[in-house]
Amino acid sequence: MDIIYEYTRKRKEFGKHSNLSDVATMEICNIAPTETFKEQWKIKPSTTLNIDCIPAVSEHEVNTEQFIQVDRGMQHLEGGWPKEVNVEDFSDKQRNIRKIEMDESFQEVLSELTKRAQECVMQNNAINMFEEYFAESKHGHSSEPPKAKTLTILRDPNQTSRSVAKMAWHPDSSNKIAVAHASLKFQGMNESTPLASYIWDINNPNRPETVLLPQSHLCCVAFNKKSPEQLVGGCYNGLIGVYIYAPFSSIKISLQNQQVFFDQSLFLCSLFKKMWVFGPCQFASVSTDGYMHWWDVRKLGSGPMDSMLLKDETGKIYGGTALEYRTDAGATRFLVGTEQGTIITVERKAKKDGDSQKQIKMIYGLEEGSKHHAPIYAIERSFFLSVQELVQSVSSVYFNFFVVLLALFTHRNYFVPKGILTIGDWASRLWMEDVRSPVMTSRYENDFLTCGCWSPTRAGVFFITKQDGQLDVWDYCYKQSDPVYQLKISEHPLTSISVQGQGKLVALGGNDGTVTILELSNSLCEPSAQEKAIVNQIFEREMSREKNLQARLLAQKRQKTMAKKPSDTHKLDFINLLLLIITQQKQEEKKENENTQIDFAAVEAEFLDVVEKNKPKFSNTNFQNTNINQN
Amino acid sequence: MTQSTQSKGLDLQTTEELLREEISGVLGDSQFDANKVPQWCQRIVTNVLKKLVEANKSQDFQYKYVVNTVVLERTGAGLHSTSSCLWDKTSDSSSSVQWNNEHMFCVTSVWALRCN
Repeated sequence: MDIIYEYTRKRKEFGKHSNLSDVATMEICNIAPTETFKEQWKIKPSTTLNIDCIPAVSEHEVNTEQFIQVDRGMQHLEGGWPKEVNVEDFSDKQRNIRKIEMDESFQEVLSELTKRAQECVMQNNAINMFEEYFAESKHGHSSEPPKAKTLTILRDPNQTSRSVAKMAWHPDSSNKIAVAHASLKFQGMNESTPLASYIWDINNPNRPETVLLPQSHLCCVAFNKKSPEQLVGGCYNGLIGVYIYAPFSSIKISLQNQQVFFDQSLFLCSLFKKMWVFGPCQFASVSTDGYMHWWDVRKLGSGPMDSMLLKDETGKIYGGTALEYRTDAGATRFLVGTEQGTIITVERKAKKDGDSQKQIKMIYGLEEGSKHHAPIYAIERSFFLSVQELVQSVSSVYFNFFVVLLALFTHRNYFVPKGILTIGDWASRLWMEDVRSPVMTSRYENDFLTCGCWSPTRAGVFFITKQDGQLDVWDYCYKQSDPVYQLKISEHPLTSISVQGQGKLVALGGNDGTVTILELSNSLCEPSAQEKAIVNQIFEREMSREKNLQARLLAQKRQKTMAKKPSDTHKLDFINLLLLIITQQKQEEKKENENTQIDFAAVEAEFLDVVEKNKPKFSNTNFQNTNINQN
Repeated sequence: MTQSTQSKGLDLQTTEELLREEISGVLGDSQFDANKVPQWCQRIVTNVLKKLVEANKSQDFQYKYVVNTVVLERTGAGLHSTSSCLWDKTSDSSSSVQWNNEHMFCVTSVWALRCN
């Protein structure tokens, strides 16, 4: 609609008020309806109209969750009267009450008890102040793949590299580690080999924090868990030294006891492992001469406080190579790994006066095929189970001597103290304390296993080091046939492993004297809620299976002997035949033995010669004398 | 008085003629068809407005216009319509025309309001 409309207005008329007025209504149109339409017109007499003057309002309610209160009551019945009071008799009770009230300490006791009772009564039990809201959302890391990263590498500061024989984490501070260096190859050390071992702070890998200077090479070190400033070290020549290590005082380290000990094991081998036991002052040691000694730190000068020869009924002597002790697995129980590849439980009951009672409770792994084909180098009860560890460095001594020997390392699980892990030869085995044969055995690896231990935080996890420099991490909760994680640490064989108490840091000692500190991923060190139960279940299941198998074997044997009995004539013939064969065999064996004996005598003489040369210089002459006498 | 009638600018006579002319021009003798009613109304209103503006262009006074049209079928029903205004009697005015043929009624009204 394009209508253009212009208009003008005079200036004088601007703002002029308009003069408006109402006009009469005007009819625009008036069309009358037709007659037919008019007839149809009807008046509606009533109409419905909704009128509402109340404003429209809507309503919505929200309630917080209802807290259901529970009423609890307690009924107290009369009781606790002394025996001589007749409860039925009122006056008797009254008399007793009066007697108590007369007592001098009554007032004090009453006021103290009132305070305690009041506290309980006033407690608000309706609200659980410590309610955990997020319990379900915890630990969702199971999907995370296991990982480990190298934190630092500690190198032996000396030119000549000696392998790491043993490591021990400081029980209190998370970043201190004691490392014992010793080349355990037969005659691998001479006078020029440095003696020093070190305590490192892992935050400072350039320089060791403290140097330990023993009289001979340290083969093992261990901290006293109850008073961590004490450190015990076992030397190659059989001496035991106790060091005081106080990181915060001016004296960093001192040799506490000048009378260092001469151990009889000298002539066979050095000490293998010691553990601190029974509180602050005592520890035990084992060595390959078959002796187990108990020592008191305060009385080192007077020799071992107790000794025992590890010997079974047949008179066979077991040389100890590893020792494990944990109070929660039994305060009197010692687990000894032997060079024969078996494990021995020794029980020692100390008596106030007179000799203590010591006995071998059980020897594990006597059956063919169940033991390790080499000495046990270490035993540790796992935090959940026990485990055996194997110290390969030690086994190399035997390698030189007898060509093939078995190494065994034991370690008890931290959470299931009955479970013991042993590392020996090419396989790791899991034992339960109640069963004489291993309940679980891994397949044989291509390389010799050197050491192993349980994780202190996860029940089903353990670590194994191998001679090809590889670390295997096993997780029984996840997989029983294969390690869950493998990591190549170095080109040199690994010799020992030590896990820090929180389970996060792992120290790996190598043959070349380096210590690699690894940090594990959370999935390898944070326990999940049901882990302990699951691991327990696995072990129980395997144990019952092993027990059933043993029972079946026994039944079969019995059947065989029963079957043999009936025919007497046959039996006689058979026995004669057997006797003939046996005598022949014996004769052959004798011949062989004569040959071998000659060889051994020469070797032994040579060996003793060497040992004589390396004998330590004693500060305690008296003790030396007694020893010579003994010899 | 003459002044006032003069000032009453819009000539009602010519306006009525104009309206009648336009209505019959649009509707003529057509039959009632409800679909066409909106178009018819539109055309009537637009044409009337154009003509009014054209006719009063040269006047002294200019007006605003309001044009309203009703088209109703002839069925026999009645229709009644009135208007009332509050305005300046001297200058504003209105005019209305009722037209019919055989089939329908058409009522067109114009209100003219002076704007200068």
